[in-house]
Amino acid sequence: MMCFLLGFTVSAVNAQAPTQKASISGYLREKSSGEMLGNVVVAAAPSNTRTLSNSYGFFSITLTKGQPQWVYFRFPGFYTDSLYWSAKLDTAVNIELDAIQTAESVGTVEIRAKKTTIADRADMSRIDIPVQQIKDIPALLGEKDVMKVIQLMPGVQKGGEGQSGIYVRGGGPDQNLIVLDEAIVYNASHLFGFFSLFNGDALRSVELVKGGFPSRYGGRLSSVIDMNMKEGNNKKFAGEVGIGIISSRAVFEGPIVKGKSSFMISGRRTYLDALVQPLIMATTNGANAGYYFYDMNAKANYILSDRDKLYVSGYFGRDKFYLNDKTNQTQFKTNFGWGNRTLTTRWNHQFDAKTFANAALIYSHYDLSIKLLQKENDTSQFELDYSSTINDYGVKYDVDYRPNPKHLIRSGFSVINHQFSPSAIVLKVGKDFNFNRKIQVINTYESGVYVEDQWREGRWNLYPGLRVSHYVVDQKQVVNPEPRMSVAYNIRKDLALKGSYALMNQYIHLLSSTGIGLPTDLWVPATANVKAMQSQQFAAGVAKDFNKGYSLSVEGYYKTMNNVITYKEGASFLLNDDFFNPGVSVNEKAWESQVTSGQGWSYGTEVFLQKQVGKLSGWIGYTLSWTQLQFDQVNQGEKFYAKYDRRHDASVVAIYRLNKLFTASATWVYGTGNAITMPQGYLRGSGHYMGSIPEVWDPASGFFNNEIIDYGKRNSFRMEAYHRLDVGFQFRKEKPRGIKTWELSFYNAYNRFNPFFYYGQMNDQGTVRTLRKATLFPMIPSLSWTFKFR
Amino acid sequence: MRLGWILIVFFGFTGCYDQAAEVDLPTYNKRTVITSYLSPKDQNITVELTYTLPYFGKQVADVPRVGDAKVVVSDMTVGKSVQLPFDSSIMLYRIRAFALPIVNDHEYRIDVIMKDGTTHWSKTRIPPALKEADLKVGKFVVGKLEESNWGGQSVSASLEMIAGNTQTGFYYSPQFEMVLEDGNGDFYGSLLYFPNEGIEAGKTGDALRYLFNDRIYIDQFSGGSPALDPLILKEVVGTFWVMDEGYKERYVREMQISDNPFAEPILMYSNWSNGAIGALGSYDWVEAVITP
Repeated sequence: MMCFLLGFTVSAVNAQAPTQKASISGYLREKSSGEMLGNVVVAAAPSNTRTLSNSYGFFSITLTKGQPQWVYFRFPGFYTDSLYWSAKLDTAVNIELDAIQTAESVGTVEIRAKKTTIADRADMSRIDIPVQQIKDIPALLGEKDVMKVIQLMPGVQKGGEGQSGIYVRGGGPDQNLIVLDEAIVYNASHLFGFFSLFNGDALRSVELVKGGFPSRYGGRLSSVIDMNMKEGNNKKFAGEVGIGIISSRAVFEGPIVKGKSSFMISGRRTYLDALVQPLIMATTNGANAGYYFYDMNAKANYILSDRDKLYVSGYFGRDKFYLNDKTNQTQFKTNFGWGNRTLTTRWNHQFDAKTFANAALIYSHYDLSIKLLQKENDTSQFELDYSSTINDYGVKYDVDYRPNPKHLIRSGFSVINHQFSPSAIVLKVGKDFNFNRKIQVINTYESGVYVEDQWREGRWNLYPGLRVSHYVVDQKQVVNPEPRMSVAYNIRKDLALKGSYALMNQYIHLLSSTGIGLPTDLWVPATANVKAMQSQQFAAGVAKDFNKGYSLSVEGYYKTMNNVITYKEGASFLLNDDFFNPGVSVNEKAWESQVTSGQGWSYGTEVFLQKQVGKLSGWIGYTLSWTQLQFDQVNQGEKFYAKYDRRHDASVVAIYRLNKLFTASATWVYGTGNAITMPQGYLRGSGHYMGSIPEVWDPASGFFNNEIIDYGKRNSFRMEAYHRLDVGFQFRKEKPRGIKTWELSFYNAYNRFNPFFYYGQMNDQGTVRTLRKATLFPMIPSLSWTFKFR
Repeated sequence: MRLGWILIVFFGFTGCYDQAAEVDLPTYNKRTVITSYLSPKDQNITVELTYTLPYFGKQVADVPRVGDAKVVVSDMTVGKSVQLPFDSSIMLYRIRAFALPIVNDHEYRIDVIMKDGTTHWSKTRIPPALKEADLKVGKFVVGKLEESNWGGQSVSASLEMIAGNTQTGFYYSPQFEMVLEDGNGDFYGSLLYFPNEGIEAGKTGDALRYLFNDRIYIDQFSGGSPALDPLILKEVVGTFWVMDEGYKERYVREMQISDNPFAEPILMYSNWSNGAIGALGSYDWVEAVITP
């Protein structure tokens, strides 16, 4: 077995060692860029002691004093590193792991990499998404998308065609805690949901947790998607630019002070508006309309001392649709935009070889606005300004403490002040009709205190934890204990049985309209009248590692959800403001009267066969699941299948690196059709309408004055099954100053007409109405060009 | 370079089209629809019996009527039943109310036995009788007249109506107009729109409050002079309604049906047994002129 000892620096020795034990601690980095590496397996032999590095690359492993040990550092896609240790004192080291760069070396490294076993991990329902795989998998219009890759995992389902919203184990898209450098991101999509906010070029790590939640996470019921931005190369200046069909992107990184601080900045913008603009102007006699989105990630870090490090990172992105149609007399102008902003400042401090702490100040902002202006002869005739905003101000403190080889104890707290303005409207008609009524900002405070232990005892891995969440709204407060537990038992070194339980509370809801995925969905807080959601999830499974880097996990889960909300029948987001409900006081939070709460159940089985190393890598995922909901005021109180209830969901991902110049990849997905509500019949009957002048009900005297659609039961119609094959080919060419990559991909390669939505169409004679489906994306080829310079 | 541009244009514009295709129709289950509203004010007892029509497929111009069912109405409070004959001239089951008077606070049951033997039934309790004195005007404010760009005048107004002696299990709705008198002695009327269609659930031992708070537009008489301040609330005129759950549910759902594409689908209401849809409801009203 070959070992590549690529960087090993003993930088400090702590003389305050405990009596029988001593620790090795330090940071794990990628050799070429100096990027921190989280979730690296650190294992010592022959003592069979193991741990993982945290998301800042920090690790600490405690061993018996003076007993010689080999300490191994293993991470998929990297050469395994090791060091020989026999010290009697605490030791601090910095380890640099070298990424596997070439296809020729893959076969060699595979032998070591296979030892990164799923049996090493006590937790379950957790998947690390390799950022490189995001880049290798073919994507719609060539836009690499983290969320689309997450959709390919078992237990995760997509919303509609092309959309980046996700449904995890029967939970809604609002039940996912999406975190970018510790800041919550509320609406994680661009282009009405077709692309995610996250630029893969700017990301260092992506982790998905579907169940067995560690107690450091809270605030959402169904999943955690924890993303960290790259820190920036602290050794040399590097970058990458890419040109695609609808957008271009660039990322630059490098040292600010070599070895001391670095930066990373990335940006992306679409140019559909610029391409289509001349066509629109020509066909509409000068109207100006378009759509674009852009986003920007930036991060800088500074090493204050051997034990202190400072990070500042931010995200800024916006989508905008605009239309400006002006003639000599009239002008019609509309803007529809939404965007996210985050800013995180973090300070890492290592107290000693066993204790690591991180303090963070976090700001997150999301807003949606619809503006409409109609002018005649330069006089403002009609103005509408609709907006919905969330501002989060948070503080967070986490401590990792490793008292001995058997325990890794994590604890901490967080406090977030959410400031919601679910809907505000300014409306002006002419000069004298002027509404300017803003709904009062709703201030809520969400906090949590947690402690968790990663406890290894022989063949047992235990992961007990407790989170206590606290929520304040409308001068009322609730305290909810949230016990968590994960257990793993290693039958053999490569075979483990696992189980978990998690209770979660969620103090925020997304009011979402059926059938559309527009950002008009409103985020609203739990209030005195609309309770917080709560879920309990049980999961059990088995994990097995095989030869040649294959691993298999099979998990079953059962989840209950309480106080889930939905719009009442007939309600809509357009009715959320008091303007549309004359007489409702602005303080009554009009949206509250539009919703009803209920409960949900989800259960199923997930199979995940993965191969992370070798020329051929990828995975096969399969989920068999059921998701039902029940609301007293919907579907006459009866249970019904959720729209995203999906009996079968399968994905196959294959990436084949033939050599260093050519990579081929393919994904195939299959999913049972969404459950939707469709008209089945209708009745013509006579109603009765109250009026200020009394009138008795007399159908004989009138006519059939209404036509009411019979939808049958809620979500009783199944759309056709969704399936699609995407293929991609990457051609690389080494140049003196970098690597040039051409990528040709085919989305929906066999041109399957997947349904986007259904509609009824009457024939010209009005005698026959047919049901038709609209397909959004046929086979779409795309071509992109990327240059990564050294 | 030229080839690059050609490729970009080709790939960029072939990926933008929609495809529609016919698919299997949703399952259509023909459902019996039974509608009847009972009121002490009505001189007839009427039951409308029909079927739903398929939404997709061949469309039917005529409303299908069921004339061969047996329809029986019973006053459960006094234990009396009558069978309603089918009147083919109006295609309804109807009988004069003196055959079975509809009385406040009595419970009624309707049984519909279809030709194939299928039976559907439903019950309703007639709401209690209302009194004009049960409804009062509470606080009210009428603002100053303002000119409108639309060519008329407008005024902001708020008004509270208070209903007493209501009962749990029934729903109450004032459908009223406010009558304003201006400085010229002319009268202007405006409907009062309350939230939730003006329907509130009754509360035994507590009053219901309805709040109107909006801007109203003053229609100018043709050739007449504009309204003149001050505007004074002279009276509130209209009808105070009371209804049972069945009437309220059907009414509210019908009012919610709209062309709003973002609205949630509204499932058809039913309080009939054995899979029939439609409503058996009951209602009553009292006319009132309330002087503040």
